[in-house]
Amino acid sequence: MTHDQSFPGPSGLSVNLRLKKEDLPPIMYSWVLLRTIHYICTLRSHHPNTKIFIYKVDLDAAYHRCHLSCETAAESLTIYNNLLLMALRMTFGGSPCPSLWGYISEMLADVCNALIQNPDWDHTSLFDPLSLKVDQAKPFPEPVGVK
Amino acid sequence: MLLYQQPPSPLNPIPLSFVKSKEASVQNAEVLKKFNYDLGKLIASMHPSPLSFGSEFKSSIDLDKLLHIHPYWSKVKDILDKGVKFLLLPISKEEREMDLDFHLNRGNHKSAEKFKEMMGPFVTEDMICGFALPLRIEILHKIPMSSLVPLGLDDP
Repeated sequence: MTHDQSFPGPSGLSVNLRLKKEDLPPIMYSWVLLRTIHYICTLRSHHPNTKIFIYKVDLDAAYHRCHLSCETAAESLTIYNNLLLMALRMTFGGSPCPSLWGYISEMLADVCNALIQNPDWDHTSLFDPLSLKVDQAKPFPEPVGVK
Repeated sequence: MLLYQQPPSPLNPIPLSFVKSKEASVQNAEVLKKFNYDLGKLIASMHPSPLSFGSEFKSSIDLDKLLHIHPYWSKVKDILDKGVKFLLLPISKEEREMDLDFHLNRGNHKSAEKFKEMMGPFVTEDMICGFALPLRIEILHKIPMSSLVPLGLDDP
């Protein structure tokens, strides 16, 4: 379901067309595959015989975690079945949403990396209690030719 | 106490109804009317509530201790405290009114009608989860700086 905030009225000025794009940050996560491949290649080059673990997180309905400001909520009204609906969370049709979500996703990625590289972190004593509710991962099969 | 061990703040109940019904839309519009149709004033009056910005997260004051050195922290703090704001070029009141009337008469995209059986559950879920506030259509022109946009659904 999409709020089509690009579709203009007679003014020719839709929400997305009125956007000040120069103020938006680059969408760094659109390069995630390239960044990950580079990282894997570098790791492999430095550690040719070590297993490389990779972790991917899918944030369920990520945009729905993010409130819209009051001004933007008023710019995101729709009508469905004779009800006027005011979007209170980020919409899938707002063109700045991918960039703005990047502020959050970049920070999440950086915090994860900082934690992993922190020698003081003991993952057996300091961990997210919710992680206990996650099913234990099955052992990964030993790749052929790797010691 | 570590950050993750801190219990969440109790949230105030909200006088709004998040169900797909005309009664709910009338009730919500009446509540909004008391605040001159200003969502910001309504949210502030109930704070802290599930509608408060960043209500699903630790407070920005607490997170500041952990994240203040990150270059994006000031932006994320703004998002947590005030919500995501699209920075938009201004539009005249006349143009805004003209666009509202146009979209009101035009309705949603054809895909919303074509796939209405798929669309309905998405809209209902948005309302039940508190992601969309149902209101009376009649107050459309009373909401300050409002824009109406058509709904659509990607071809499944």
